[in-house]
Amino acid sequence: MKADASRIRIFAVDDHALVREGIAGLVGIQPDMIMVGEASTGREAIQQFRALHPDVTLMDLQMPEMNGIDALIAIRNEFPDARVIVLTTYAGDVQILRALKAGAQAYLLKNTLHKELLDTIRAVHAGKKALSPEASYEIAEHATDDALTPAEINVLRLIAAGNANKQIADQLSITEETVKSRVKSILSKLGANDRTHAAMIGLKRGIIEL
Amino acid sequence: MGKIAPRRPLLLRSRWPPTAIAVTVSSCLTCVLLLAGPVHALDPNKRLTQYMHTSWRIQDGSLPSGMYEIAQTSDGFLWFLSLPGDLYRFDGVRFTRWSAPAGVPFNTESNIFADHSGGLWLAGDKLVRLKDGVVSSQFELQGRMFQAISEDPDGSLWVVRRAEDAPLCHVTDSAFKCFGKADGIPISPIESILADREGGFWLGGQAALVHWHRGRSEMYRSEGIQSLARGPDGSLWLGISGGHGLEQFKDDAAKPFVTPTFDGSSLDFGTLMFDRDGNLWVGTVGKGLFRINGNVVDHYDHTNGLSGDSVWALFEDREGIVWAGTTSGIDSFRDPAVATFTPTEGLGKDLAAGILASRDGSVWIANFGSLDRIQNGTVSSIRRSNGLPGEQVAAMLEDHGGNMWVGVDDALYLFKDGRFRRIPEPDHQPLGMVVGLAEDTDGNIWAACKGKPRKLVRIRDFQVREVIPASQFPPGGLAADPHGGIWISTRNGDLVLFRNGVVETKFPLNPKPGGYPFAEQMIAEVDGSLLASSENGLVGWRQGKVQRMTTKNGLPCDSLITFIQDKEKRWWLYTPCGVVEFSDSELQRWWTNPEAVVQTRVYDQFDGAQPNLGSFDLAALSSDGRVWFASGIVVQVIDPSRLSQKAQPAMTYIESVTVDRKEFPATANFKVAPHPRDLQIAYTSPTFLIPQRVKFRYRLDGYDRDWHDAGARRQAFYTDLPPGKYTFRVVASNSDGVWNDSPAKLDFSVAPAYYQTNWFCALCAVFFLALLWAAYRWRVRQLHHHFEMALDARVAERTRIARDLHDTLLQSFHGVLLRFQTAFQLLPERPVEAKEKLGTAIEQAAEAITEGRDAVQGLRDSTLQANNLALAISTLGEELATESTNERHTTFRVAVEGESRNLHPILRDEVYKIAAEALRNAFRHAQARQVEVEIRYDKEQFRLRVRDDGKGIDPEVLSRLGSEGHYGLPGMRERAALMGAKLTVWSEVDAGTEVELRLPADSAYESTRTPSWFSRKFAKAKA
Repeated sequence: MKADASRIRIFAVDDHALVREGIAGLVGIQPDMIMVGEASTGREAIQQFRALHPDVTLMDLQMPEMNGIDALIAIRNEFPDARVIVLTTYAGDVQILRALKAGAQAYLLKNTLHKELLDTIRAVHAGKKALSPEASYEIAEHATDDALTPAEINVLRLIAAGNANKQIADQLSITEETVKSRVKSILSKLGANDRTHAAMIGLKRGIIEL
Repeated sequence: MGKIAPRRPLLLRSRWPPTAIAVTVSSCLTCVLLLAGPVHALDPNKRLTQYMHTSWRIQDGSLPSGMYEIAQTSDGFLWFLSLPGDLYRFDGVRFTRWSAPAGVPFNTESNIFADHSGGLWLAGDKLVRLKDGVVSSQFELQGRMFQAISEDPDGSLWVVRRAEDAPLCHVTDSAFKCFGKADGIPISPIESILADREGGFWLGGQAALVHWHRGRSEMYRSEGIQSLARGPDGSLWLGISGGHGLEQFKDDAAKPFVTPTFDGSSLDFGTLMFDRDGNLWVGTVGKGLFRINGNVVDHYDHTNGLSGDSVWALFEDREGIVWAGTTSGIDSFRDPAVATFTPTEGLGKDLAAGILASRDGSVWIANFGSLDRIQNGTVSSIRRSNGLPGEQVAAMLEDHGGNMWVGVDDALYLFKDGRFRRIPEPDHQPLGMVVGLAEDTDGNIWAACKGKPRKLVRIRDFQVREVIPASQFPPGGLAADPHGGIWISTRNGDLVLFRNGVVETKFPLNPKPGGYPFAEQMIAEVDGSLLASSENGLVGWRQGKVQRMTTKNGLPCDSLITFIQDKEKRWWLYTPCGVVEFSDSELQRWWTNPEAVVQTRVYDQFDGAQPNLGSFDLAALSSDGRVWFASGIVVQVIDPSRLSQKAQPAMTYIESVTVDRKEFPATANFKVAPHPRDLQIAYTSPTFLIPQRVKFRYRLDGYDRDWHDAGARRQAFYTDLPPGKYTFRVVASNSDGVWNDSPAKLDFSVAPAYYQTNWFCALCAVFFLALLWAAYRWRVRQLHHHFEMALDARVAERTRIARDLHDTLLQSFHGVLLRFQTAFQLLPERPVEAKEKLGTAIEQAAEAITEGRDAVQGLRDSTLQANNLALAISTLGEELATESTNERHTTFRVAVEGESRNLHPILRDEVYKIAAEALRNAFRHAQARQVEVEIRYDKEQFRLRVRDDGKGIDPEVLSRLGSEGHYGLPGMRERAALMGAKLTVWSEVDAGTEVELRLPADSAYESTRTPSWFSRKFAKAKA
């Protein structure tokens, strides 16, 4: 085995133990890599990062307590050199863009992990940025779309949670009429046929999370 | 006047009694002038007792008091002023008390007078003219107590007032002028006034009679003139007060009127009046009524039925009826079509059995105990005392030679010059009562005689020539045939023509045997026909054929007593229904067509007819043209020449409208309040001849389709008239049965109640539509809401599935995939390590499959169709129980408490999912021996408990694990929160776990959301 210093020190953040174990297994047999830590929430990730100073951080986006983006932003604020690869199950343009804006060096879909994880780790460690072709396509497809406003995103999130307009109005402290107009705008911007469709699109594009 | 006042009832106080006299006299005279002519009048030839007398008496309850003032307005109503000073209107049937409209001075000192333009004058403190119930003019003439009033042809009035200087006032439309000493009127007060024919007046005072020519005057000395009247010959009659009676003013001097039977000077005076036929009527104080015609004076008082013997007022109305107001009531006298002679008029007895008119103008009545004779209106009788040779006068005949044959008892007499000569009988055997007499064309006198057997006797030259015992045709009445022979009405019901000693013709009188078989009258005509009276109508025989005139031909009765033809060839039938008149042309029409309906005129009891059956010849035609009948009781007479006058057309008036017992005057466009239950319209037709015969028809336009025949009823009744506009029309027939063509009309309207108005209906319709619209909107919103709820639930469901897949299956596969990749990289260099990695990968894959199946299970749950939550949960529990291949056997039990109720479908799914999650935890992780589900349907809430006795969880761990998302707890909580339920998890190590879900009833049960009846209907209708 090489000295620790020559190996790429990897930190995996995922709330799913199986995924972490899988990553650890794969990384563990690479001669140039070493798992230095694991975390299951965003908060944990920040604390561990301070202690570990890993070379490359693998960050799942969907996690309880603090999600991946927030953790990423917090880490990048503290450590601007931190190199982070974002892992996610879905390829949504909004989510990808958000991750990239937050300072992620790479964006990996989980279903391509087994093939691309190692190469991506090495590329990022070498200072490169890496975007999977699928993610590039997603971004390109919606490049000219009107973005939803934060208010609309809030409404869409509640729609996806199965709320009726009235409930949404109650929760957001706005009138039902406002909710209706926002829903209309959401449907128009997303090109959705109905609320269900809008919720699906929102999930797919990563405008909202599960 | 002071002398007279005490005669009046005390209640009159200072009233001057004879005020009515001049009024009635003068107004009657003007009546005569102004009317087209008398309609009916009183026949001077009739005795006062022969008039139809009607009395309305206080004691019968018809009137509240006696009357002393009478007037008739041009609308036909009669007005009576009572002694206490109340005014009554009379229509022939009902007295209606008149109440003075506000502002009209009217009191017991008043006087009434009807002018000829429809006005009624009330003279009291003021002089007021009323027209149609409202004051049309009034005058303030100083000096109260207006009494005598006279109307000029130009309509202006002359009124006498109590004023010393100018007692006579001329009242025109708008002004009045009074005359006194300066104008040549030397007397005051004036008691009576009478217009002369040159524009002047006769004025009667307490000491003098003055003829005033409007400027100058002549004065004649006379005591206390109370009343003036002028006869048709121009003679002036004075009624003098104080028992000085009646005086006639002739040759500038007044002389008492005295006849052998009447001393006018002794009368205590009431009032004077000449009727249209020139009879002078005199009302007295205490002596009743006198009627004077020439030297004939009739008297009538309470013994005749007069309501009272003190007569204050006399008045002749437009129909010729004379009215008398007495202290005790009102009396009317009218001339009936059929006059009656009774013992009062001089008949020997009221058993007038037969009648004969002789050529000298006399009418002879066969009576019991007397032979009565009516000549020039007076009745005389021949009795035993002056030569009647028996008791019962029987059949009578005047032969062509003027000899009068009279049957008396069982013999026949020749009556001449007041003496009876008995016809000699063969063998000195009495002939028997003569029931029929006839003279044939050969001059033979035939007598039908009673006895055994009945016989027919032929007499010639006053000798009995032949006695024919006629058992084959027992003779009753006889009639000569113009072609010889006699007709015999036999006792056995046949009509027999006996000619030349043989029965030439014989036929039965009645179609069937039985009944009254006797023809009281037979008339054989020149044309060979025979008419006979019968119980079955008028029997006609011509050329061997018999025909009958009965009710089918328009007669009022089938039965006929007798009949006769008058000089004008009109036929008069005496029937139980009255006297029936028809023309000869009608009879001829009937001869040619036995079915013909004959135009008749009927005089019934209201016309004076008192038909009954006598014994002998019952009809006679006197030489003056009058038709006579003997009824067996009385004698009745009709003068055809006086019957041609027709009654005036009946005027009809609508008097009042009574709505639900409240009476209103019948004013035009009368408005009835909403919802009248009973509406009654009173109408009348003022007529006094025969008010009983006045009939009415009415129709309510807008309600009735046809005219109602009301008969004599004088009210129309309607119930529950709907709102709308109506016109009530009523017409009357007069006493001749002639209908007036122009009906009286009253327009009125029934106002709609607010809920009957159009706008209200419209409002209701609008409201209903709005309600319908609201219901529709509500339903749409409800459906929309349900749809949205379903949609939202679906979104949530999808989100959940996505999350489930993401959280479980996908992550597991990602992990597995990474292990495979690891194993892949280790091979072939490090096979042992690779094998180890593959082993864990396979294990992980198996776990992933379990997770996947759970997720699929979750999907299936949402399609739970049956509402049986307990069944669904126990199915799942049993599935899980068999799946757990633990060595321990886990028992599973579901308990349901309370009556199972339907949960809302979406909630039901959620409840099921929570239960499923809890069950999975219990079976998979708890290592429980027993798992129990308890479902409880309470009224207030729904409760689900999942309990196990497994290893349990430390509460601290529980809260942490729960928050970390294990055991599906966050999902369960989230679901519970979404549906407004409360989820409680209780657990302790080694003590088991209990999950409790509680849902309030109003959101849990479907039944609490049961749609209303309306929305169910609505939903049904929509379906």
